[in-house]
Amino acid sequence: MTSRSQTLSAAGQDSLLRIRNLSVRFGTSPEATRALRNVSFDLGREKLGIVGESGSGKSTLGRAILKLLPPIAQISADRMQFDDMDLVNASERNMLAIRGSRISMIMQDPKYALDPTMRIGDQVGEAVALHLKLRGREKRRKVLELLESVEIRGVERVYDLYPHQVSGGMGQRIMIASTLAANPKVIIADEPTSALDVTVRRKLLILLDKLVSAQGIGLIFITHDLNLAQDFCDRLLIMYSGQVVESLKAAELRQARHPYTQGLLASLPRLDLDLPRLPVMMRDPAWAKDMETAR
Amino acid sequence: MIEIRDLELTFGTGRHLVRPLSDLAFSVGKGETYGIVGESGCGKSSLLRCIGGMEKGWTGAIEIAGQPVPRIRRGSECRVVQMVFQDPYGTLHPRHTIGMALSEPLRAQGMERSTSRIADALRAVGLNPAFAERYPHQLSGGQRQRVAIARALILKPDVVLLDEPTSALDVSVQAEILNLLADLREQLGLTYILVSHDLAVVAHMCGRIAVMQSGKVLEELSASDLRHGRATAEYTIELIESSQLKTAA
Repeated sequence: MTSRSQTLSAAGQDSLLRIRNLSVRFGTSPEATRALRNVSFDLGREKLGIVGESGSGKSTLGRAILKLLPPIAQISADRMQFDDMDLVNASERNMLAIRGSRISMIMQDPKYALDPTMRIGDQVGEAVALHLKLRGREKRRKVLELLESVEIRGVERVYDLYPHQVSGGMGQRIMIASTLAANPKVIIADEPTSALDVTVRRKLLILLDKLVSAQGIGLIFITHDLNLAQDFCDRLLIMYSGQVVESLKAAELRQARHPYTQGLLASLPRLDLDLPRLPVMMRDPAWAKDMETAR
Repeated sequence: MIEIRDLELTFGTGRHLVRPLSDLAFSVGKGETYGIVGESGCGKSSLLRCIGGMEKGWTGAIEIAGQPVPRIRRGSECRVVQMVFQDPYGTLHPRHTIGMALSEPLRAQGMERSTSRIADALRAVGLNPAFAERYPHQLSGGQRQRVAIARALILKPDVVLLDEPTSALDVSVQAEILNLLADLREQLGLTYILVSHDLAVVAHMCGRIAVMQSGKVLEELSASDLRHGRATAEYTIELIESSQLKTAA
């Protein structure tokens, strides 16, 4: 696995997040599900895509970094470093200071992530009040500024709307606005565009790209969509049954070497290729075996 | 096989009148797969619901196999058109075994409900007949979607309406289901209408594709037009560009 160790620290000198041998298991018995096995990577000021199918552990990875997993989950890692902080041994109190303000998360579906009984402005205002300690008129000004930064038109009007009165794309912009309230260093986006139409999706990705590059944020982009990941991200980690099976530059996805990645690519219908039948992947049990660990 | 003329659907009256579908007309030949693409709210699902007999407030004409379809259908008139829905988790009753789910349409149509018939239906979609004893939560997403297809086909329909049949599935499972649908169409001489937001899936499965916007068919393309981006309407061009991504502007 030379490709793996090479690209492990492709971010080079200034890594925001450094993770070595992160494992998560649900339960303590020997048969407990090992949702993550020895995942190692570095995140710089870049867009890192985590790609995999359902059950591959990609969402668990995003949540494990923020320690947002249920109490039954056992998280272990040789190293989980964010800036100069050690996340492995961080207390819940320390995690509270990190969550949302230093490392933020964007969820898949704004319909569930926004409180249906709160006005948009008050919801974004909650994040502003918590992280920036602003009150009253200053808070309102900051909220309007945030809404403007995610290219929402007519911010004064949107401020007073309820979540059911806005579209899915607008909802996701609002989510991003409240994520940005505290100037986070790292954003974990878990399938942020899966619930959106393609034209809306493109606009949102362009916006996210702009914000991330402008503020030097490290983005972890969790998705099941290979085309999307290839197009949007700088670097990709391919996950299969809790392990990173391949790590590569997004531009080199088509030259992937792992048979699982190749199988995924082949089974995707393509606009530029007319095939009578789609190739179906044969899964090799060897892919699910434990791989060597990184140091 | 399917002939649609001047189809219009309205909900509500007066100030609250909404018109999800208007001036729709197209025809689908026997054995063809007709694709429909468009964004949320453009009327794709409403159109399928009209053809499938789940909406009553439409005007115009729908003909299936040369027969005009009445707005309110009797049981026996429902058999020829069957539907497969998007979410295999939501369309199977969690407390009914697969066998019960498959015998339900047979009971509704007053057809014979033998175990051998159910076993055949499961075999046709590549599942072991022993699955009849299982409950939906014991099945994977792909297996559930196979059951949903078996349930649609058990009544030997002429037309199957597919509403985003693979959007909830992983790509490797999507490939299996799309291959299965193509095989069944060939074996049984079925006619499909496939709704999807994924242009690549539609281009792979369909001969002709209608692009819908706000309840109307904006334009009709062939699969090769779609592959080569030969569209005339501005909206279609935007749709094709968006699905090819190129966000790195």
